[in-house]
Amino acid sequence: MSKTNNSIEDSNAGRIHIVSELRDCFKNDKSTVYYKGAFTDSFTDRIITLAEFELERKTRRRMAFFVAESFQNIVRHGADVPENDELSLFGVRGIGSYLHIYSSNLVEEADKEIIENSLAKIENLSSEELNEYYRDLLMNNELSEKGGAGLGFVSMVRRSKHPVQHQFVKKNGLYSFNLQIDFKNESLSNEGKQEEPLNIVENSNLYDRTLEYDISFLYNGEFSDDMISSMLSIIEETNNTEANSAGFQLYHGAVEMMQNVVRHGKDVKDGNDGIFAILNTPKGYYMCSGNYIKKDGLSIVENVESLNLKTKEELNELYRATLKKNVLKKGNNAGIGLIDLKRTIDSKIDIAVSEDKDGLYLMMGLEIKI
Amino acid sequence: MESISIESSEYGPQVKLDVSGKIEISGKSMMEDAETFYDPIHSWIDNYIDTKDGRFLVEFNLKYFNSSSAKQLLRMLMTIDAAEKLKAEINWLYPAENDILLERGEELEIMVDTPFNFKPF
Repeated sequence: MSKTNNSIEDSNAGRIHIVSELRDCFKNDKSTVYYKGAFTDSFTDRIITLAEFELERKTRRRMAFFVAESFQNIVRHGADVPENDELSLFGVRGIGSYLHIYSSNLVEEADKEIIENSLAKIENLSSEELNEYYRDLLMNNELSEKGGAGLGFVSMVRRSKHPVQHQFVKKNGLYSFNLQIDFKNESLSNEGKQEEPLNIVENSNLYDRTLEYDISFLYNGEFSDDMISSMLSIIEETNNTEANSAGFQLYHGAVEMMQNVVRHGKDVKDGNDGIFAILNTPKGYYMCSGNYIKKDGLSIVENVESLNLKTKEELNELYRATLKKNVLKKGNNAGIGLIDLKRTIDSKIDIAVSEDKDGLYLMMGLEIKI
Repeated sequence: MESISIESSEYGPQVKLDVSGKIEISGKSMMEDAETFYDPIHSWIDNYIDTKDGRFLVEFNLKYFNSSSAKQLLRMLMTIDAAEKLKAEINWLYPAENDILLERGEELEIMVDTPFNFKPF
């Protein structure tokens, strides 16, 4: 995950509301993943798992292809400037029977022209014309310096059966190249409804907001073991979580917050649906999670407020006393999760509860200083 | 009784229970249902205590453990602590730069009588 220093919001309580606002934007999504920073090939599997856990093998292969093509596109055309990692974003949204793969990265003017030319050539081609053009490209082996001749774009359109949506936006003397691949998960029924793919402008607007709020990771969707494991792998691969205390804090915060979503969300409508986000702050990271809770789950608010008033020594004593009290009781609830989180992170836990037509929604957030 | 070895998984640690009197637990212990994972380990230790005596070494080399696992680790240590026939020794291995893992070991040591050997690496 990439860190930038352009946070406009220094209040942590404010950050929780930012994630809450973004959640409203994803209300119709089955799953949403946003990641900002350097891209590596190992992310492909994690991202696919997060984006759509129920994909059939065939759709999963198509998705893997699109994710890999998007990554390659970023590597192939990305401007060689340090801020590219900070401004590169990758996102997947599952809405209805559609999956949308979005990427944004900085390119130089010369690359902008190459990309525009490649896309213009295929813009209005029928599927037969497209196949013919694809064969021509392969046979003439007309590879550009950047190694593509637009083959990547042609393959995206052929396999997705949708035009590639794109935009160029002037940024920092370069261009932000926004690209969106839309494709249908054929195994999902849309009950005969006419569906249109999401307009790229919506994703680009959200991208601007994630930059403005310095969000480096966001996931919205079901919290199963596979999802949690994929998110933790991304955190591990982008941070040194094992060697030092700061890495341990980050990992610990993520595990306890994600498992909290599973623990408290499981008896509520829609199962374990929740949100998890990491925002960069001037001091480190702000981690935030949200999930529906039952009415009797509201005691967590009082519990957190009371923990926030305790010193580290008091928290350590409370942790030991609670653990000893519960050690021989059956079940997995040791009653120490929040106490352990508070004393390990050593910063205030923010908590906010809101209510909508589906019930009470709890959001928790905390800052990890590095 | 037999030695048992459990391979590590995404959520579970590697566990080696050796009839020569040594237990090794290493890696990450972060499963939601820690009780189910640790139940056979508790049973093995109970069985060992019933049938054997003498030196008994427990070696922890954990990179991470969640709160559900902490409860199981303490339960295991309390059982070993109470076994008068055993001369138990606990090794707690941790990365030298990770003060929190050291503190977690020191904390478990406070809650039992058996002393810990802290070994940074």
